[in-house]
Amino acid sequence: MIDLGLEPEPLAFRVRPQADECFDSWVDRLAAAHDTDRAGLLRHLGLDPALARIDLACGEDALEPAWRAAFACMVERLAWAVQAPLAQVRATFLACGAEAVLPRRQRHYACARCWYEARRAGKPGIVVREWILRASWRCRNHGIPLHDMRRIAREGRGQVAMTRLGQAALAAHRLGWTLRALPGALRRNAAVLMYLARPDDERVCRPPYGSYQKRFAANRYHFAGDRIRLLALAHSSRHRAAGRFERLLSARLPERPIKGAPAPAFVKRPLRHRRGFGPARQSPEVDLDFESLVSAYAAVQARRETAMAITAIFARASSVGAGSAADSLGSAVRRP
Amino acid sequence: MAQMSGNSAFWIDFQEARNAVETLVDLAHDEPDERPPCVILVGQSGMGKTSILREAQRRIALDFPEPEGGNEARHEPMLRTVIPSGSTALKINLTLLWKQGWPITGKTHRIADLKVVELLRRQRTRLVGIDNVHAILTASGRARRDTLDAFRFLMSEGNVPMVVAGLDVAADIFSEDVELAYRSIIVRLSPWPPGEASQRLIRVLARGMNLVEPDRLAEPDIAAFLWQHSLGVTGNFKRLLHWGQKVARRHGRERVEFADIREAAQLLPMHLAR
Repeated sequence: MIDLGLEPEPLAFRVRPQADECFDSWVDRLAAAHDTDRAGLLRHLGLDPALARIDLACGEDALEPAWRAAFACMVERLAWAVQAPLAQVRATFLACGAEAVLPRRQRHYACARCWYEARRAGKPGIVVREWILRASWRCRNHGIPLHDMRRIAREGRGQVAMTRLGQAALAAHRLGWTLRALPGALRRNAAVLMYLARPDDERVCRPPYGSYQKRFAANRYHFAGDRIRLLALAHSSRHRAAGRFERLLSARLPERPIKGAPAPAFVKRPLRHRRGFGPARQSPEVDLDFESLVSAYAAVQARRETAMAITAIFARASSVGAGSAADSLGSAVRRP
Repeated sequence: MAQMSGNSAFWIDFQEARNAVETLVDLAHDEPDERPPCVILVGQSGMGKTSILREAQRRIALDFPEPEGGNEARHEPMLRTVIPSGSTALKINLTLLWKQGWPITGKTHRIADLKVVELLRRQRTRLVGIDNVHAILTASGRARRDTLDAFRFLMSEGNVPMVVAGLDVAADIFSEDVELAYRSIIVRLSPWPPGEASQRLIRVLARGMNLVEPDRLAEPDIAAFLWQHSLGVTGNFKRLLHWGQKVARRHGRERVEFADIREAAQLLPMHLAR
């Protein structure tokens, strides 16, 4: 519409970034409030929708020079659109390198208790800047592990939503009790997270805990199905299990294709895997399937009901008389 | 009356314009009604209808400040827009949505009317102003009917009074719709009469435009010429003075002379002088 010459207008809903909220979380909330996606929102504001495909979590410094002007324009336009100070929008970006941040699709870990309390106070659930770091796995306010929030809606105070959040908070507490983190590991984790999530203008002479940072700042636990559990393991006394996963990921796979290398040689399969040499298949007559199991169960059930009906009728017949009992028996047996 | 052009916008506080603004502000103060009224503001082009709407919007925004701790919805006590070309209900609704700050996407048209009404409530809008409504009269019968239906839906479902502004012909805009016709009030802006009223207007305009010795331009001979060539229309008075100033500057002067205004009058269409 801006292309058609219409004057741009501030957005209908001024969804402003909350304290310490990360950029992705805020923009997704803003787009959802206007029933659109990120590209649609940027297009509405007269910005290049291609910006929606770029990871902007680490701000201008992490971008290619070609995108920096468009990025600066986007930040200004977004601040104007929600009538918020420019500094409030700039505070949503991280100042660390992109390797320390989770991939975009993985930024769905949050503290279930924080969300539960926010929801009860009528506020939306947000993803804090610190929680999108790869080294982050624990809420420092509540001391419980983060939870995967993909299946939990950000807004709404319905009974179902609150129950789900409550269950998520319980699960997080249970995980925290099961895998108790070592105090030293927690201290190092907190120091490194504070260093990585520091404001843009804050100067730090030397990164804290060099070896810890080397291991965890750019860890690859997000390749696992449950990265939080692995990180909890790595910070507990059972850290060897998490170490095994790290070794697995860092191992060089011999079958990995290398550029310019010859095609892998044909490997002859053993006889037992070839057609005709496998174990003999059972005859279909003895091969039970689910349908025959159900029909067998139904037949047994029907027989049992008939037997119970007969027993009941005979019990009644003994008090009434022989003639009427025989009549009742016939009708009971015929009953489907 | 009031006139606005480019960056040299200023409100000319005369009785007739003040009355029109008061009417609109009073309307905004009314409690929400199931059948709210509709004001039709009519007058020649350049009489200051748009400026009246703008001044009413400013006054209503002052009268209804944003409440403390309000929700996230933008606070918009008066929504003002210009009717789009080739107007239909959908186009009007999309224009209003744009003004309300709602992103227009491929699926917006399905619920545009309902969304406008929802946003009117959430943004606490008390008056909707639509300018240049005479453009509806150029549309086909079906499109006109469609537009009037959109107006009725907005007013009834949104419980918001409406003001539509346009040329004199717009007074008959609701003649096809009995319900809207009964609910409408016509506010007409008359051209300036010759004499003292026009002189007062010239004086105010010249001061607003920062002309040198503004009172001199309201002298009877210059004022009579200006009135004759402007037909009593505020915009034409201003245009003549503005072009007179340009002619004077072309001649290397800052002070506007009668001759400059005569020369400027040649630039205006000849039918105005007749």
